[in-house]
Amino acid sequence: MEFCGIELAHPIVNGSGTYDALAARRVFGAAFESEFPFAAYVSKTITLAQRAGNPPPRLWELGQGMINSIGLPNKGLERFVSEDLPAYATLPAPLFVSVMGFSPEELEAILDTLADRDEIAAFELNFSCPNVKTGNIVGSVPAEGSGGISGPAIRPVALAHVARSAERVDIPLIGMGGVECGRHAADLLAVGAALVAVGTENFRDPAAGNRIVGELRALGDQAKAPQAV
Amino acid sequence: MSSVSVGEQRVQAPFGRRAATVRSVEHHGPYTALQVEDDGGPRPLAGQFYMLQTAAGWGGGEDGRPYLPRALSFARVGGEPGDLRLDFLLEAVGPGTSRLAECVAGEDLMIAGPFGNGFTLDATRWPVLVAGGIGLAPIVALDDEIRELDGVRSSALVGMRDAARLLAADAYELVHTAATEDGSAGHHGFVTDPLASELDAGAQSGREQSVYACGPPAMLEAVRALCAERSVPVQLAMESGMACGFGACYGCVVPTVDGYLRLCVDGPVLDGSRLETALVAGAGH
Ligand SMILES: Cc1cc2nc3c(=O)[nH]c(=O)nc-3n(C[C@H](O)[C@H](O)[C@H](O)COP(=O)(O)OP(=O)(O)OC[C@H]3O[C@@H](n4cnc5c(N)ncnc54)[C@H](O)[C@@H]3O)c2cc1C
Ligand SMILES: Cc1cc2nc3c(=O)[nH]c(=O)nc-3n(C[C@H](O)[C@H](O)[C@H](O)COP(=O)(O)O)c2cc1C
Ligand code: FES
Repeated sequence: MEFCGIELAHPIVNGSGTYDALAARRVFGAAFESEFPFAAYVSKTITLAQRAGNPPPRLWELGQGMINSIGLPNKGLERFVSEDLPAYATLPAPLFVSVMGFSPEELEAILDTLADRDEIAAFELNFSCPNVKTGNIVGSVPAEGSGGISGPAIRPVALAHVARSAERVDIPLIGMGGVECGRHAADLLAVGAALVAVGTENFRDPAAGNRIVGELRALGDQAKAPQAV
Repeated sequence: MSSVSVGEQRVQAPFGRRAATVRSVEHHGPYTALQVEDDGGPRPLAGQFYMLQTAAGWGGGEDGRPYLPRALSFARVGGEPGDLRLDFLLEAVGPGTSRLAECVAGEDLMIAGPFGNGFTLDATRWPVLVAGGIGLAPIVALDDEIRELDGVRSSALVGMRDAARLLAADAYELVHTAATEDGSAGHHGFVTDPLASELDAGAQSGREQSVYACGPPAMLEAVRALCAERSVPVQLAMESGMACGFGACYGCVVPTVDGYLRLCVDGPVLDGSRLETALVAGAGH
């Protein structure tokens, strides 16, 4: 399949900030690369300056998901380019880099630096992290003591948002929010998403990406098979 | 301070999670020991941990939780890869550990791991093992590793709230000096009292020691401070709130002299010299 001119093996990618492929390689070894769970790898959001992130505790569990207040810890642009980019380039999937600027100028500076790096297939612009204050907020309203909700709790709302967005815009969309299985991914694709991102489910199942791709294929085969009456 | 580099002792995990059947369940006072058949996993190192959830009925407790898997250190490993048995020792303190404590033999878990690093044993020094409460689990595992080595002798100190909890140390045949907070067995008081005596006796006899500890944050901090005062190397197996266990969520950070680090991939065993304090927000119970 194709997404924004990029050839992808299937429509499942990771949500930014929900998979550190370099840490996973350390933990799982070679099997992580030979069974790579995503069609493209989305990096954790990077910012111009290095950020330590929020003090712990950073996580709260809900019955159907979680709340996080991580605060975008990252090495900053310079060390991302010198340390992480060469390592990401060796992953067996195209690299999408998530970036955030605290002002339009800052965003421009990041994109200028990264624009002609061959290692990068696409950029994802983070406009709405609930856990840091930026001048670019589009989505949620940041406040002291707030956090980002993720997991099955947000699935119905996410599905409705993706459906509405797909009706209004012509650009390809990545749908996400509470995807736990192939059925949930199929629902997002059905309302107009071009790709589906898996986030929190990775925490419960490190190979969730592979499982969901398999379940999606099985659903497709079922749909193609002649229906019994 | 330490002559060994702590942090890179690890056995890699199979990619993904896998089913593991509960083989037996035993209760030692308020603690529960689960023995699990891990046919698909490698032999882990003492200090490493697993993320566990039940295959069915995970959720629906207090506030609908648990949702995320729970981190547990293994306490004992038996058998060989392909036919491995792992013992987990847990205390029911909330919805996740309560659900795990209700497991019955034959029930399936989903597990991932081993994760994190293990203790780095410095065999040139006399190992002093210190366990507090459910922190007993990785200390039993380390004691097992030491007993497999030729000619390495060690001491173990165990602190518990009461004698009922000490039953777990006996069940695992850990030869130890005991301390209980209520005085119902062993020394009446904290485990750091016998630890101070042990370290002072070691210093007087010119015996070089190295301390390995796991327990609640306040105990770990007291152990860290005692060792720092005496320039004794110490490795602490710590806890923090973990969602994933493999470096994906950045939730489990603890502050160190080098800034925040993710306890699940750069720990849970940390060299005491990397910490200003072992009192960490969001850790322990
Ligand atoms: C590497 C590692 C190894 C571990 N090994 C073991 C083991 O061998 N045996 C064992 O019994 N436990 C072990 N634990 C601890 C265990 O994982 C937790 O106690 C467990 O997650 C509790 O889950 P729960 O749902 O039962 O309770 P929860 O309701 O999640 O929490 C239990 C207690 O912790 C407190 N708490 C939870 N989250 C926070 C937070 N963010 N900030 C402050 N306090 C909080 C709660 O108030 C409550 O008192 C280990 C933890 C780690 C990180
Ligand atoms: C712990 C955590 C960290 C996250 N970090 C980022 C991030 O750095 N940048 C970003 O754009 N989104 C981040 N997200 C949002 C996810 O990419 C995703 O949009 C969201 O979790 C919804 O999907 P889910 O329900 O499948 O998790 C984070 C989410 C979680 C749970
Ligand atoms: S538990 Fe998720 S990064 Fe450590």
